[in-house]
Amino acid sequence: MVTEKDVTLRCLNCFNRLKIPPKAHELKCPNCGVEYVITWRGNQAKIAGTVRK
Amino acid sequence: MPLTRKIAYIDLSTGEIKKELIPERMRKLFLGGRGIDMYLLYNYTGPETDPIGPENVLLVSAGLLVGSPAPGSARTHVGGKSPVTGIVGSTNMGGFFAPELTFAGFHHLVVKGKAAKPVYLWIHDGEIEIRDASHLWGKDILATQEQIRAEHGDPEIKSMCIGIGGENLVRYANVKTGMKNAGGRTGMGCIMGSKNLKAIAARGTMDLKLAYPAEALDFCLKSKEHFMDTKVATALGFDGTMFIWNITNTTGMLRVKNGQLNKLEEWEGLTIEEFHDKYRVGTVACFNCPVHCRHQWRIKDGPNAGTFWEGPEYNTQMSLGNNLWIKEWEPILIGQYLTDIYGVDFSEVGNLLAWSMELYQRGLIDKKITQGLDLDWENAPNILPVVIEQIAKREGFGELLADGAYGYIDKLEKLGVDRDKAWYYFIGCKGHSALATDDRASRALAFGAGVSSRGWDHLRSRPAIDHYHLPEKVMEELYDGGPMSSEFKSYVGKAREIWWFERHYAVVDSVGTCKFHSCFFSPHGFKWEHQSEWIKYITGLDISPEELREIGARIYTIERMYNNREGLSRKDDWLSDFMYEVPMPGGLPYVKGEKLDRDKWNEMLDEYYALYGWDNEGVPTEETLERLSLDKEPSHIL
Repeated sequence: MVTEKDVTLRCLNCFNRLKIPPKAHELKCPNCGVEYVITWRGNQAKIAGTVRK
Repeated sequence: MPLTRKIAYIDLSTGEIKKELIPERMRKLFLGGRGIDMYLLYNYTGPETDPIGPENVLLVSAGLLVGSPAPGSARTHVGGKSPVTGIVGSTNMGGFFAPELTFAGFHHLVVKGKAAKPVYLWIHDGEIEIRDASHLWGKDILATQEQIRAEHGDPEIKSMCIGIGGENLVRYANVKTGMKNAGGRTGMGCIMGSKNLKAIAARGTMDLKLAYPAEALDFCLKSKEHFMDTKVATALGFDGTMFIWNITNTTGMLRVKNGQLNKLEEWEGLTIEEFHDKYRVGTVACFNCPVHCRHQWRIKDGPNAGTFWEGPEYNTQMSLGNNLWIKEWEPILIGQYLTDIYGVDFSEVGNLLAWSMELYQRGLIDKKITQGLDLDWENAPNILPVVIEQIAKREGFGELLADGAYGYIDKLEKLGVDRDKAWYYFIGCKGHSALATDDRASRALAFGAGVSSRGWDHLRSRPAIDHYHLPEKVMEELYDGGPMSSEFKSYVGKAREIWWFERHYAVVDSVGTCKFHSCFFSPHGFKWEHQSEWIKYITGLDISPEELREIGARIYTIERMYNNREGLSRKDDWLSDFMYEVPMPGGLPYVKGEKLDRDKWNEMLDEYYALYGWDNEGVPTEETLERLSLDKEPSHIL
């Protein structure tokens, strides 16, 4: 469950809300499987790119 | 009061200068800024007008609310018949010039004719003088502005000027103020050059009285607070417009190698974080803007150490970066610096060069055509500064590129290149180069580029918020009806979005506020209701939100009438064939394989024309002209 206090981003592929664990640097969307690289500015998470295989 | 600001007619051939008040009726019909400029363009030029002949006009204006407490009220509009496309020429820039013009007593300048030698206009507290500019000719844009200030002993003078690109009649030369603020598109700097007009300098100390000062200050302060509460204000204030790049690249919505790829897989060197770490010095703002989205940067080491400048924008990052297969910041920064000081449009430079590099890759042009330049993609960082300088000076290969897409293809054909094959790889519309995004999956963004009145463009409508996956109910409320779709890949409601945004931006450009404060990046940005209140408190004019929608339709329709008169119709509201024929090769699964559908595009055109009250060819009907009070045009009221 996503609460107001959680840091969230929207998946750019399936538009699902993603809950971002603190200090996470990579995240896989549980809905569509796309893997993102995450960067942080303070408490704000941002998608930087996709994980390169 | 803003309504006391005058229009001045300046004939550079005869030296005659005439100043008049602007009738209130014209304000109610077109507001000011772009709106009145487009009225003037329709009335003063036509199919017989050579864009670089003395009969073309240079229209310079401050929007109706410029210089007032309305947030972001900084914008200068510049218009004329475009030397790039031969249709509507119209461009817009921030900075401090338009407020200074307003404080000097003027909202509109109509510059006609051609001076016998280089001149500049000196505008101060209700006076206009034509001054000799022989000593400024050949100077870059910053040196020109500094020299004018030094001559008058006044560091507060604000100028708009051209660089050597404009002097040499590069068709897409732009007008500049400050370091990087540019009226970048459609070649308005070329018109200045064709008139031997190097600069327009303004200094004003005239009061700008407000109709209802207490209410105006109170409402404008609340407006600022409202906008600064949005997430986009924070993002813009820190990252500038480049906050978008990581997201669009991740999705696969950038053009790379002229559209052969739609994502830069090696993205790490071109992120905003990399820019922050290595180059960012701080941010600055335009007149009366709390956001501060304009970066300042400095190169700290290497052969370019010490170079300091402002910018870049998201568009620079793409046009001089990913589209040219440049994957690091420094060549982009140097490219931006050079296009700025020479005064040429980096969007055209980047797009024309990317097109040429693909032609070179495919063997359609060779080193004989490029005059020895190696246009291999891997060589892009090395050739970019060379090509920019050649274009601005009209030397070598740059001479071929200096006349824009139409001029370039004509020259290539004369040199024996297969015209049809080469033209296929030009990405643009109506002869105007495309933004370096890949909009094949984004139906609204693509459609807006296709029907834009100044050729491919991202500032006539671009509903970037279509990518936010907003709930359909919210969209129906925002866009005054439906049906709408949250999916940016869907064709449903996209024509309505463009119709809404075109009218919205026509009003934004006419009151002279910044688009980034509007709904460009956020559905919570300023809309008709804010504009109506600002106009009431600042000017005393009572114009309802509904009337503003009609004013937006009037402005867009007179631009359409202009282009119709130049011979354009439905057949011209299409993007390059590539967009409908070649699927997107990469990116996220949501966009991979997408391309535009011609049948759906036709349906969008039908819907769009109907919303405006234009016929199937995109020509306004008699009823529409009457409804918008355009049935007597050209009326020559101004």
